[in-house]
Amino acid sequence: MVPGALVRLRAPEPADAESFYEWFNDTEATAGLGVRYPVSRRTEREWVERGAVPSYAGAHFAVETLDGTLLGTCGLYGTNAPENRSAELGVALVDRTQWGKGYGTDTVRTLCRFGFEEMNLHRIELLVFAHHAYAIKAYERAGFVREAVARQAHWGDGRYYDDVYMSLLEGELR
Amino acid sequence: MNGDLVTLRPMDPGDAAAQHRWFQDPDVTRYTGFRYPPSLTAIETRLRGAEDSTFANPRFAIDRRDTGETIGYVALRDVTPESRAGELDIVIGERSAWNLGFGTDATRTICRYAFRTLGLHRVHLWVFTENAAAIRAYEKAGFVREGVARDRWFKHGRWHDCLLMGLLADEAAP
Repeated sequence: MVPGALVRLRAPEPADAESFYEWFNDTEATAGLGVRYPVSRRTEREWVERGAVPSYAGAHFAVETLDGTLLGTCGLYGTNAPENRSAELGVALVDRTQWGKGYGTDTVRTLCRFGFEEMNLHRIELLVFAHHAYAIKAYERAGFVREAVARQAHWGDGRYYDDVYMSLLEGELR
Repeated sequence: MNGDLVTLRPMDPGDAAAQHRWFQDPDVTRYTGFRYPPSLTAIETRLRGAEDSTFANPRFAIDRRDTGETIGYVALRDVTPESRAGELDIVIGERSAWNLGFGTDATRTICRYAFRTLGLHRVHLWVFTENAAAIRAYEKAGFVREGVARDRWFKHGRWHDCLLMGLLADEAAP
């Protein structure tokens, strides 16, 4: 268990799969995530099984409130070149009824602290849609810096979107 | 596939010796992600077992048109059909072919192939910010600077910043 101020991170459990199945099929909840195709219960069960042992190669977590209400998932990925001590951050708080309570920012902070303090990362990066202003603000609150705009890099909803690259280096977490 | 100065052709096992020689040259690998020197056997095995180019990963050897000499290779990686976007990867391994326009021409040629044959919308690449010659060549081919990722790669005892560059179909030279 990785405790934060408002949330805690734990290994995914099989019982999470049904909630993930519902939430990841909620197109409004996943609009910022670039999810394209409907996900099956089997996909979610397999994800939970694969993620059951968080490790350096794939630090997947279930995110829950301090009283144990499941909120979504998060993780640090792309650590395949450990020499770079760099990972990509992914956060999917897909229960829409829990939005606007500061859980997102606290999840980012908690996950990044874990990345720096336990995984010995030097750099945590992420990709976010340029029009996803709310998420960008949450990342900036945690200390992330905008580094690049990949123009028209993502297709969805019948149009191209720009992607913003952001990163946080060790010592910059707020 | 012909450019003005180079021909792009499928790689074959006969390219192994040249590739092996390039990867022994620290001036060739200085600005690449490359760290562990591959054996000749490993390169031969990889080239012999290599599948044909695919939409997701087309790759070519670069031959000079004037002498027929093989001077490097160029590839697209992680090409996604929905976003119609992929990443460019190029190495000019023959030092005698540097600064003569071959890299620029190979870049133009594979981008023309990406846009006109594969129907892509965008090609992007990452380059070390200190690799000024490469950045000049990419700009000549039409690539636009999109931002700098700090400390993205660790090599030679320190962190290196990497520049993201992108080229859209309607920006490429005809």
